[in-house]
Amino acid sequence: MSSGPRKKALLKVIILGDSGVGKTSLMNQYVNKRFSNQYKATIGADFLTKDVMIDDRLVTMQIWDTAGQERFQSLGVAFYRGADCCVLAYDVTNSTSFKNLDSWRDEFLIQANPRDPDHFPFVLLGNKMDLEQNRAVSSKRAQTWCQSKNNIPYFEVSAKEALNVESAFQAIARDALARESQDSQDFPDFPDQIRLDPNQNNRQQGGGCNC
Amino acid sequence: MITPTTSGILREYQRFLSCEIGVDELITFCRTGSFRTAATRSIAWRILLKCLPINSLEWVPVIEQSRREYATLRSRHVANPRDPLCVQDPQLNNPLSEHSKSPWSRYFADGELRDLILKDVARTFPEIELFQDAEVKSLMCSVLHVYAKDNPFIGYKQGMHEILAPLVFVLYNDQQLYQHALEDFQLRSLDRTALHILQVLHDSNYFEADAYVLFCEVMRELTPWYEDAGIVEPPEPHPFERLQDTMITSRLLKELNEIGQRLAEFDPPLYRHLTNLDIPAQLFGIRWLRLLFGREFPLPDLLFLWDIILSDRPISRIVECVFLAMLVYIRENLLASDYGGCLQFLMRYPPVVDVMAFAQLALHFRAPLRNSRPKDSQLTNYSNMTLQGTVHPNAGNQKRTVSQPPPQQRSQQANRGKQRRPYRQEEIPKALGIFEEQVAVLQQRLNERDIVTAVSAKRIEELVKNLERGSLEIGTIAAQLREVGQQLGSLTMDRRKETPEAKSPAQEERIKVANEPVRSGTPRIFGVNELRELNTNNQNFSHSKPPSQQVPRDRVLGIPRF
Ligand SMILES: Nc1nc2c(ncn2[C@@H]2O[C@H](COP(=O)(O)OP(=O)(O)O)[C@@H](O)[C@H]2O)c(=O)[nH]1
Ligand SMILES: [Mg+2]
Repeated sequence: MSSGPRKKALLKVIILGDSGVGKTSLMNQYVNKRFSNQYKATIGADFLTKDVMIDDRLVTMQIWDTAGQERFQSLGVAFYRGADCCVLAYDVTNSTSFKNLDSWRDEFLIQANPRDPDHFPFVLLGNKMDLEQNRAVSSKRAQTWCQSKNNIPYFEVSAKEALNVESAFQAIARDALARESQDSQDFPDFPDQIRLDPNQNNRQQGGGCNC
Repeated sequence: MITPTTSGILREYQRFLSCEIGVDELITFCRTGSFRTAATRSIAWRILLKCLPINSLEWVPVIEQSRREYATLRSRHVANPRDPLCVQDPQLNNPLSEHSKSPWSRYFADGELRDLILKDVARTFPEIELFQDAEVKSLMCSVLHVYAKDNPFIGYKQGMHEILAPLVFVLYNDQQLYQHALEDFQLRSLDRTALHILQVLHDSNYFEADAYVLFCEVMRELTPWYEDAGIVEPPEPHPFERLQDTMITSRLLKELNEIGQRLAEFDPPLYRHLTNLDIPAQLFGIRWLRLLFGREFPLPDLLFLWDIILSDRPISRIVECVFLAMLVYIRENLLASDYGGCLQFLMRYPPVVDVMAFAQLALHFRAPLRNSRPKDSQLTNYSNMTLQGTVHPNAGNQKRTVSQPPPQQRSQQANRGKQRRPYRQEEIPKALGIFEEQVAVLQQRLNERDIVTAVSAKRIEELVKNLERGSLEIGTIAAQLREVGQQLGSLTMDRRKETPEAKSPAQEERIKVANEPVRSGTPRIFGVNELRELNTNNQNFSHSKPPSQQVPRDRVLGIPRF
């Protein structure tokens, strides 16, 4: 793979979280600048792109929205491959959606299998902050969780009122971009169906099979 | 052809009742679009799904049996502690009782399931009035709840609600049409036995049970695509093995994989293009399969597609062919697009202009020798808009520079130097043709209103004549006038929604789809294809506006689909 800065960056961002926390609404608020309370349930996955300028750099964000019910590789490998950032979303009025964050994060790490999982960029979004009177998870609690996971950046947002959405996604792009410039080889070029030999990870030349 | 006329609806019922229709004929009717405007689609589907035998004399006992069975299931699975039939013992039937036999404990335990279902039912077809109805929502919740409880291995999965919805729509539609025909004395010539059969069949008191029975049969076909991807251990688990390198365990992904292979046979260049971009069918096809294409077509077209799918069981073969047809149908768009562009076309499938031609393509793939391939010129779509009538994210992005696939394919791409390209000279006429067609269709949509108005005016005139002659009862005239009024009223409601002041973002998305069921003998809003027929068959009603007239912009963005 080539190194050095690319003219134009392309970032793949995946949004995960329980059904109903507002993933689809957040993506649409960010990309299309509007909110509708009539989004249909996401089935499988959805996809939108948006071009943004980050520090004089034109960046295309490919945002993947998922259904809250999809687990255990039901989306297939191609879906996770090449992700630059994983956005975890929960609903500040729903504590279950907060409790499930751990399993979403684990799920992503298992599926995407980045080489350096401890430093893979995650961002946490606490959505529906417009419903302050119904809040079930305090900011403090969310921040503590983020600290325990290697300081994941945390944003409280509202897709409905367009609060903080823009700045959160800017930060997401920045984080992903920072990582991208390292040009790390998190996702080696192995075809889907080939099993890795346990020793192969340590060898320089792949392809050999000693089974 | 357009609405079941008096004799039309009677004739439709008679065909089924007298057992004139054999299964083969039924299939032909399905494929040729005969049910697109019929009042008997629910009967056809019940027969195709083996909920009803073909012999109408057996219908009543069969259907009564299935309704009884549902009632039993429902009382077993949906504990309603307030239901008088529930446990009478106050020790047990009491919200504070912790006894496991207490209907309340079950009720609370099911809470999560109920919430999950409700969340999806609440956002089912937000553009269709029927699904905003509280009773319909509660019916759907119950059906899905009973199904989930009765099939614990699969439970409720997102998407099932949009399999149920079209079934509910069709049942409701046919109930209404029957009721109307009855009140309109259109069924007078039927004998008592026949009337009784129809009455039982369309009894709205059993709407829920009937929907459940149909739903179960459709789900029988779809369960492989809904079941959890087994966390099946690979034969020899290996500590260093990446989970993603294990075999594909879900039947859904396997099916999608097979479809990809079939694309390689049918359209090698398209297959290569998508493979080079690393866009396997698994990336976009989950929704297509789970919802049986429910998000990719407007409801009337979808129901026609389901006619074809349900008449070819087990459905996986025909579904594969529909899937392939969808890809081939937009192949030019795909071939000219990069990674992001392709995905946006696949995730927001551009509306198909002529669903009959589309179906013909799918049937061609199913049996190439028997079914000829439609001409390429028939395969057009509105590639610059979405089904919701909004501008397609790919629209006009020829100039956009977006576009590399994710890192994996960047290297491959670099070698090929594939770039988004502008239209080639020789493609321009075709592209122009498509645009012109789009304008024409928008124009036709405008004409819809004029047609409805014209038909209404004519009806009123007739009713006035009847009134003068005294040839009809006042009650009948009043009823018919009310209908005309409703029809016109629905037009003005439309218009109100379209005025900019009254538009909230939510309403903006809302598309007016026939809120009133199709009623025999009354005008209704027509679909594009029907309109095309109408315009050719019925010259005096068409083109009350010159075709060159400009289409206002807000119409382009909020096209009614029905
Ligand atoms: N009050 C409020 N409601 C929201 C917000 N974002 C989403 N919702 C609502 O939450 C529900 C689920 O939203 P959706 O985006 O479909 O969630 P998803 O399942 O995570 O994609 C919908 O009824 C939305 O209208 C928000 O910021 N505030
Ligand atoms: Mg969603």
